[in-house]
Amino acid sequence: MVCILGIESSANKVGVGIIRDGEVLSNPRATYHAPFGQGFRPPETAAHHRQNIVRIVIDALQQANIKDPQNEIDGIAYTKGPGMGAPLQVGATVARTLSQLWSVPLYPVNHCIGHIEMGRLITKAENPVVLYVSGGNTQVISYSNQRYRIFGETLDIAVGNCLDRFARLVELPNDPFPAYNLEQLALEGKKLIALPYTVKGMDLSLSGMLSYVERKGLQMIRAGECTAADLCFSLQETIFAMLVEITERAMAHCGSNEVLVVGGVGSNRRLQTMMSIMAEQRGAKLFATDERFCIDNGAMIAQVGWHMANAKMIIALEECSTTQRFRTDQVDVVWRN
Amino acid sequence: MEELMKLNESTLESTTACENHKAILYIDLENEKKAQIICRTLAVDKEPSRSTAKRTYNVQGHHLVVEVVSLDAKYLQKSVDNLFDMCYLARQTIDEVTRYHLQVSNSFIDALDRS
Repeated sequence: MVCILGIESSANKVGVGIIRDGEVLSNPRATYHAPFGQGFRPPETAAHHRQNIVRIVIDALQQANIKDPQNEIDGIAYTKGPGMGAPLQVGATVARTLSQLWSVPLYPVNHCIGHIEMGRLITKAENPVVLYVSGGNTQVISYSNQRYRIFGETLDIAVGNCLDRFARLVELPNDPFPAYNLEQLALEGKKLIALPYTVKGMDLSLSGMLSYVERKGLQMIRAGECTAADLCFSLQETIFAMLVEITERAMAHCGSNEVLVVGGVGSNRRLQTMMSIMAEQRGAKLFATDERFCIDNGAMIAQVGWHMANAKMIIALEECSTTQRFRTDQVDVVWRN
Repeated sequence: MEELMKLNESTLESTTACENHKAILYIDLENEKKAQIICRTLAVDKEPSRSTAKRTYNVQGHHLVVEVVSLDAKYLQKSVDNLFDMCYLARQTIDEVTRYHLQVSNSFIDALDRS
């Protein structure tokens, strides 16, 4: 029986999760909401996490019914990267302190692999092509020979970044998150506006589309040619179609009949619908998790830590730093065949 | 937390080109074990790549002793600010978690839920 406490703090969410042998015992988290009209910035986000993270650790232990952490927790996992530097440091500092306090091993975890392993645990997908879409990452990933290989990805900004920034332009709130509010407004859209469709083989590019809707789109709204809802609708239709295309191309290339969507944008219902239509036409199966696990959380980090513990990995505390760039395919996935 | 801070800004007196600005912090952490844990926790992180600041960590009894040197006063200040933030966070972690005990009301409520 292996019980791991995981700490996630790479962006504006700080979470602590406890997992024991495939069961999520607790998973509390807090979100820093930037002031209206602004994105979250590293210093303020880190300050929020510093103010909340110890309380969340205590909450996680309470909710998991842990009586004696020193003897019941077998390891600490934390997000090594990728992410924002200052928030990452907060999680790592608490993790290193707990590791010494309880004399348990420390596991540095890649954030992207956290999403993948939690997605696999919750959905029971065997060997899916993974679409990882969030505010900071957009990748099409497939496992092969001890690596999560990146078959396609964004060449500039992440999908969630694009959606969030447009949501700010049309004055949507940051709570619970801008892309969610954009999703709700898109349901009221009636007119499809033609937008740049920029798939490049297995990759895609979003900065041009964002510039287009920032200038031309806002002009059209001011001129009364369309509404903000129409643009939100059109943005989703175009971006998600691009994501479906590159994912399908990867599925064809790998001969896969499973597709797993992870990351914060993975909770978008419209994306799941479009992806499921493609999967159905291919005779494949779509897997997705709900917002408890799609969105950044501590349990997903704990789950990777659990794998690392069972694989008997040992990492010295002096090596347990953080890094803002940490490619998914840099990790040696020793826990899979 | 009790801190003594000595700050030198003396270009003329610098012994090497890399030490235009220096701060030496003595942070009282109540006992040596706590000081050792916090020292080890903080020593892992590197300064941001843009920064010209460098830190040296030591433990003397129950004090954490940190020497921060920098070419630029701005980076010295940022480094010291970050040091205090992380030191306070590590100390808070130790204090709160050491005080932790599972609340009986949780177990009681769980028992009620199960019955």
